[in-house]
This record gives sequence, C-alpha cells and structure tokens, in this order.
Amino acid sequence: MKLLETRASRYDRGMRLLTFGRIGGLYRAIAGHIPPGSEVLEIGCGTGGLTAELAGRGCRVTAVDRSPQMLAIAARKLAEIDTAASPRLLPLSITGLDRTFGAGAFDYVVSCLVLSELTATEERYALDCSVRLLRPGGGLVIADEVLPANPVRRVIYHATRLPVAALAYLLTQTSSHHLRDIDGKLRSRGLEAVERTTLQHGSFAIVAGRKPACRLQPQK
Amino acid sequence: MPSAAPEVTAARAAATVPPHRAWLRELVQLLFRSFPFHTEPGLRVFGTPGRSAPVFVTCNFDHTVRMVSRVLGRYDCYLLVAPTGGMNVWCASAGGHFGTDEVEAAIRLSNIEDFVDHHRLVLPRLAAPGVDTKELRRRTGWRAVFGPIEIGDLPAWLEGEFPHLVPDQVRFPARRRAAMGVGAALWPAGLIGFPAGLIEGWQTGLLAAVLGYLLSVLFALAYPYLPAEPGLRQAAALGGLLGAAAAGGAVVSGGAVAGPVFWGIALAALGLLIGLDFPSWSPTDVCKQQLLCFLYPATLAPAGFLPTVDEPACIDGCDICVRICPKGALTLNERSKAELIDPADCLSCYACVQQCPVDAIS
Repeated sequence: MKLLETRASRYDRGMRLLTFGRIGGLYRAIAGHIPPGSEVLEIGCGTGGLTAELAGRGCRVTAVDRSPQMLAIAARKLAEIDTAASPRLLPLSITGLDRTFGAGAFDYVVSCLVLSELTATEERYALDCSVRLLRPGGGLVIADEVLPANPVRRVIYHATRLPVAALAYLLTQTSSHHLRDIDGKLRSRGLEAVERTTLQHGSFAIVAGRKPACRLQPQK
Repeated sequence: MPSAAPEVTAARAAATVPPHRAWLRELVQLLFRSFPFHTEPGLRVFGTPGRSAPVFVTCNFDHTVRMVSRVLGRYDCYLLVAPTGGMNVWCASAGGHFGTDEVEAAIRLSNIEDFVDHHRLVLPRLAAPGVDTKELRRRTGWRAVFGPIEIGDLPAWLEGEFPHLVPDQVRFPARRRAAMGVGAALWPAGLIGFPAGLIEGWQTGLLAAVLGYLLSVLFALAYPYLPAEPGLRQAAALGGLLGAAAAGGAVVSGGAVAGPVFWGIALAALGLLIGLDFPSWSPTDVCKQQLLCFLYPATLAPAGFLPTVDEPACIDGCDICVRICPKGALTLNERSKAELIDPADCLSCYACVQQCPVDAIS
C-alpha cells in the first residue's frame, strides 16, 4: 500500500505542477458547465478536486474512483469544506458502474482527465456506459487533454509532451494520451448540442453534450 | 463462430507483423523488460469457437499476450485480455493491478457473455494473489478456475486435470534466467555506465555498460548455485569481490592510481546493484524483494508478510492454499489444517490469503 498511498498523496502536487498551478481554474471551468442542484456522477474523482468544486456549487455528487487510496484523500479534503449535501464516494471502476447504478440515474455525468488514461476499448465502454447512466435531457461533460488545433501550438505541444509525460509518470505513475475526436464520439452516441471549450493553449478541452430528451408528439 | 461475430481487437493484426519487426519488438521488450508494454485489452478469438468454447484470461502485457496466443492458437477458444496497465500477471496481481476489478473489466469489455453459454473462466495461476474469486462470482456470475503456472503446461492440464486446481511451483530455468539477466541489466548498466562515461569518456562508459550486461547475465545463470542467501549480504559480497578484482587487475596492468580506484568503485557498484536488484526478477524470490521493486511494488501484503492460519476456521482437509502456493510452502498438518512449512520459502505473495474459501488465513 505504501507506494500507492504515496502516489495518491503526491497526485495533487503533481497535477498542480503539470498544469503550472492552473488545475484549480480548470476544475472551476468544468463545474461551470453543471447547474447547481444537479444529480451528478463524477467518474474517476481522484483526490476530489473537482468533486469539492461541484459540491460547493450545491450539486448532489456521487464520485467514484478505482483507487481507495485516492478516495481516502478525497474524503479528507471534502470533510474540510462546508457543503449542503456531502458527496457520496464509492470505490468503483468504470466497468462496475452498470451493476451499481440504474440507467438514467443522473442529470450529469462528468469525468476529468480519465479518458486519456484509458485504452481505446475502455474508452468506448466508458462513453457507452456514461450515456446509459444519463437521464433523457441530461448532460455528459468530458474534460481532458486534446491536440491543439493551431499548428504552431501543436508543434509546441508535441515538443513539450515527452518531458511532461515522463514527469507525469514519475509523479503519478500514470501515462496518458490526448483524446481524439471526442466531439464526434459524443455525437455518434446520439448526444445533441455538443460544444467544446478549449483551455491551456488549446491542449485541454471541456466537451459537453446533451442526451436527447423524450418529447411528447404533437397532437393532431 | 457465434452468430454475432465478436469484435477482435488485435489478434489478427499481430499475426501480420513482418518477421523483422516482430524480432525488433522482442528485442526492445527484452531490453526494457522492467517497463510496461501495453496491448489493447478486450477479446481475442482463436480458431472457430462454439458456445461451449473455453474462455481464458490474461494480463495486457504485450509479451505475455503473445506467449499465451502462441499456445491458445492451437485451440478453438476465447482469450480475454484484462486491463492491467501493461504489467505482467504476477507483478500486477500482487501489486493490486490484476484483481477482481480487472477480471470484471475483461468480462464487460469483451461482451463474452454474448458468445458462450457457460460461465467459467480460466485465470492465470499467478493472478491468485489479486483475484477474489468469490467476489468475482458475486459480481458477475462467473466462476474462475486457475490453470497451471507455465503457459507451456496448459495443453497437458487441459487434457488431464482441467478444471481442477493442481499443485504447481514456480521454476526459473537457465534460458529464462539469461533473458531476465539481460532485462535486469538496464539499471546497473545505465546507472554506472552513464556517470562513468561523463567522468572518463564515452568509450569507458560504454565498456562499463557492456560489463554491466555481461555480469548481469552471468549472475543470472549462476543465481541458483550461489552460496549466500539473496539480498544485501549476497550483493555486498559480489560487489566486494568484483571491486577488489577490478582494482587488482588495473594495478597489475600498470595504470595510474586513478585507474584502480575508478574501476574498483565502478565494478563494486555494478556488483552491488546487480546483487540487490536481480532477486526481484526471480520468480523464486520476487515478492520478498518489495523494497527493490520501484515500478511494480507488491502492495497487497505488507513487507515481510507471513500467512497465519486460524485453525478453528480452517476447513479440515481443504488444501486450496496448499495447491495455490507457488512455492509449495504450505502443507496440511496432522490435524488436517493448513500450516506454513518453512517461513523462508514463503514469498509473501498473498495467494493463500486471497484464495482461502473461508478467509482463515491472514
């Protein structure tokens, strides 16, 4: 347990370093996509940075992470803040979501820096599962690394990628990759009004989409 | 084939890799054996499996998947590749990366339930420290059985004892020791060769690195026959001997004072690093060496863990722990209860604790 505990406690410091101290602003930007009071599932909450932000805005949050060590740190962090409803933390991996929650259980499903750590097969499963767990009219918010659209920034991104990836591996023992066509993947799952907000010089995107709501057919 | 053809992730693509690229991949994965090499998790299909075809599970370490695929290619069967972070089966399972969650993930990611009518998985034996088979069955309805340790022993097991748990112990034959010697040499050769190159020029650095590889392979080959117990004492003795021999050799060859000092220190450090690190590469000592496993630390059991049997809870005559122990370190005593024969044989791998049906071992 020693190293994982060490890893979990180092995670926050590592993330602050890797985002040049801007991780707090990214969490606020992501939480800004979710209306207060929503029933939210956060997949891969880690040490609870985004969870705290969501709970602080009055959302009812269920946060899951596969690492109990990360959740222990999240629990300590969340205990320090004053929220109307304290978030529910569950040790659960993505493939355990279907057996734990019913379809359509959440207004919003959100994940930050999770899909970029998954393989293509896992990513496909995670997106399918997230859409299943959304109620009709609910929103999916994915925040993650992307390739900048601007060619110059893309070159800078590639040039800085290797040392940053090596640093990330040393600090957090995880490796990641940028997401490809996440907007298209949301649309192909039937989500509507897919919008992208880019930050961090185009290398970080918040992509949000809405699951079609059931509509009454017009009466003749 | 089932009516709905399963999505195959990489099996057929792998078969089309040209020989020179396959050889290069083998070489790179051997030289950098201490790092994870991921392959896509999910479903692999071999032959034309029917709805009663066996379902095997393995890790997503590319080398392991290729080894397993070579054997499973002779059968009509399914292979589920679990997302274990690109790590090998044993390190992943003892380190908490190949457990119940990952087997559940392998089941869900592959949609295997659509293709077979049974619910029986064959897990790799060395996944026993991580996978709670009772919990797996509760979550998924799938019953797990453990195959033999070596994939090469799988055909005989399938023809004979399948699906029963057979006693099996880890082996470390010379060929594998040589391969592990090459893989393990990266750290000593790099840690000594690089600074040696900075101090004495690149030719000296290269020579030190080559010596590192040579010594590592020789140490690996001699490993089972060495007199001292693996660990600090063995490493210190090796470092001392090598350092003294190198310094002596440099003096005899008539170099300046700096020569004997440099080579004495360099070889002593090489010997110390090799002696300290190699036991963590050996399946006969691996999990005991927790402090030295930087990338794949065993995390389920605390360092120096030894199993304690709660005799009243232990089922009379149940020998699951005796069979599952990869070192044969457990036996049934005269009261038909499990007992650790010799603490020195225990690897602290946690398999007995995890697989006890009544949680009587802790």
